Amino acid sequence: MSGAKPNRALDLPDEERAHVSDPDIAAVRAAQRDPSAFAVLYRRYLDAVYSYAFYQLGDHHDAEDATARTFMAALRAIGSFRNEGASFRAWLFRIAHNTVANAHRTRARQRTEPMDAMPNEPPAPDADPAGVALRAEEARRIRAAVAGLPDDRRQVVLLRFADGLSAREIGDVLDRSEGAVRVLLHRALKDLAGQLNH
Amino acid sequence: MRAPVGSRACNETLAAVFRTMTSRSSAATPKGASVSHNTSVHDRRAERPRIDRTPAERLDRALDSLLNGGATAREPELRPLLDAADRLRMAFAPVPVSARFEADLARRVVARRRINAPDLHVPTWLLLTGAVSSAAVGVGITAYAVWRGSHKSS
Repeated sequence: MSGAKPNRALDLPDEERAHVSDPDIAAVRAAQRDPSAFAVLYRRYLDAVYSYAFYQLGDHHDAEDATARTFMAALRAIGSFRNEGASFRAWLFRIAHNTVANAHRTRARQRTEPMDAMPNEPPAPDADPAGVALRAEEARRIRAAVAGLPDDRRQVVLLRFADGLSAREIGDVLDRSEGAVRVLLHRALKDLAGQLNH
Repeated sequence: MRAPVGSRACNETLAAVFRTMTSRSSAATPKGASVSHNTSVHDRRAERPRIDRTPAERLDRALDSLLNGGATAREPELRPLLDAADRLRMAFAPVPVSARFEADLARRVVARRRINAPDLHVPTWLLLTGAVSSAAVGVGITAYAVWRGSHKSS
């Protein structure tokens, strides 16, 4: 099962981390009592999980498949979620992370390549076409630079900027300490700042 | 010459070192003063002066502020990193989910819940289901045995 393990080498002891408020805990408790309440969590995290899967896999079909698998796995395991360490968000993204890793392995076995180009934001109706094209080009350049980072730094950057997870939550997802995540992020941003300013 | 590990001399040396350490720590805490255990790691970390924080910690705090729409740090050494972070935020904007996929998955989620209810992966339900089924089988076998016995005797 790809659920989050509650006890890991994080900066805070588990009993203290349990007191850190999880904004989703009321919805999780409701979903554990009444399954139909899972819809609240589904709506809350669908976009974030899908974005994570898409930026990792680079293909809409694979991202949809990984998103569906993530939510179905979360739904099966919601009864076993305990507010003892990781937040629900970190727990869900850990499932997504494992699902995406499986998709990468399947893709490597089948030797398939992603089909879709990275997305561009839909331009506003009155947007300047030249400005839109420039921004799209800049976004492509940045995503290419991120794709060239070592795997652990790339994961940290995606979870921080595409999904807005905190260093502690990223540590929960990747099974690293909060301090290690901060150092990875610092190094990744140094690399990227150097590349993007050239 | 060093005493072999595990020997009496070695153990005595270790005990002496340990006594010295404990006497130092007790001297640091005045007699009668209790050490508060209410101070959380969070509080202790918050009390640490800003200058003690590592660059990675300072950057992380500045990123929290940036991603939450707050003011960014003024430290010059963080400036290029925060500029890169701002560009990353723009480049990794949320990807829109198709309405068809959203509706399909929502339907699957609801259907799954119907199949699963009550949840057999919850230990209480599993035990209860096991007990009820065992009792039903037991009652069935006993009833059959009684019926069979009465049938034969008649």
